[in-house]
Amino acid sequence: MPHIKTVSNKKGFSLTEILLAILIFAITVTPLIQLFIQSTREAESASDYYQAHHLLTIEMEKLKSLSSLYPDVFKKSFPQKSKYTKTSGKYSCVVTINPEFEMKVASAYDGSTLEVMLTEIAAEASWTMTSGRTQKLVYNTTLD
Amino acid sequence: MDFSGDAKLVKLNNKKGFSIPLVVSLALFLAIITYALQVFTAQSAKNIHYTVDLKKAEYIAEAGLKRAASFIGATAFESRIYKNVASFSFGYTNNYSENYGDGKYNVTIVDIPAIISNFGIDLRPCEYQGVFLWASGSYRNATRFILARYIPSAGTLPIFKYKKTINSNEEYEYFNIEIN
Repeated sequence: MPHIKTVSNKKGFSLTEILLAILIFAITVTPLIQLFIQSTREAESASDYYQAHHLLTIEMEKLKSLSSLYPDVFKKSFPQKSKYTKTSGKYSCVVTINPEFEMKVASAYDGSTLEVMLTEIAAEASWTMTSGRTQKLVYNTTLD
Repeated sequence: MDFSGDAKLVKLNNKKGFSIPLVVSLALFLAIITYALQVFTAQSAKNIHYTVDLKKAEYIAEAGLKRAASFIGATAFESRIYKNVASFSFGYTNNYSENYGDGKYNVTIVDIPAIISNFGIDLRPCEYQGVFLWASGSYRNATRFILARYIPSAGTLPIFKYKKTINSNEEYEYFNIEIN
């Protein structure tokens, strides 16, 4: 029975082979899993940034429109440096309006200082990712 | 089929090393899929971040534009005043840069009437052509350009007004030029 002998000689070879295969698989797949996790985090971060960008843009454009279309209402609403907060889901938006920002310029005529009052707006969104890391996005602009 | 002992032996020999090529092939397949996924995700994330950066750059450019326009208003549209001012150096064609927020803006002011009057034509500064403002805001790799024309009107002068679309019936024109 030469064929039975041959089969017996191969006893245990499959196990070694499988263990080796598992080792190779583990070595290959471990960095792939890390890459996959990294991709998932990147995708989550990008999605979060886009959501935050959307929320901040709404706030910024609302203020710009109010300032442009109804300057009196804007001045009455924000007579001095003020701040308001909005929360949407995991995003917390803090909008700071400073209508008393002074910029100075020297006159070429007599060297006297000219002052210009501007309205500065800073909108900041902050949120916590599932990894526990806190992220933030800030938009700044100037209104007339 | 022949199920004799020799035939079995031949079959077993054929299976030698089968699982290693299989696992290597599988790992290679997974590596390609994961790499493709990673490249796709990274590109998507990059695009989103660029979109956000571009919006940030736009607000920075607008800030530069508003500040420049405010100074033009403060100097009563007299180009000779803002020709040599210290902070903002306006004039016939002047340029000003400043860090703003996390980015930077650059404003170029082109005073067409001043240029015309310089050639001997009696025009009040800014009266007809207005002042052209060319602002760029940059944040990281994103840059946003805004071109505006400011024409003063009679009575109380608004510091700055603009529309986002070009309209020949309006005094103020504004548009964005997006690069990249």
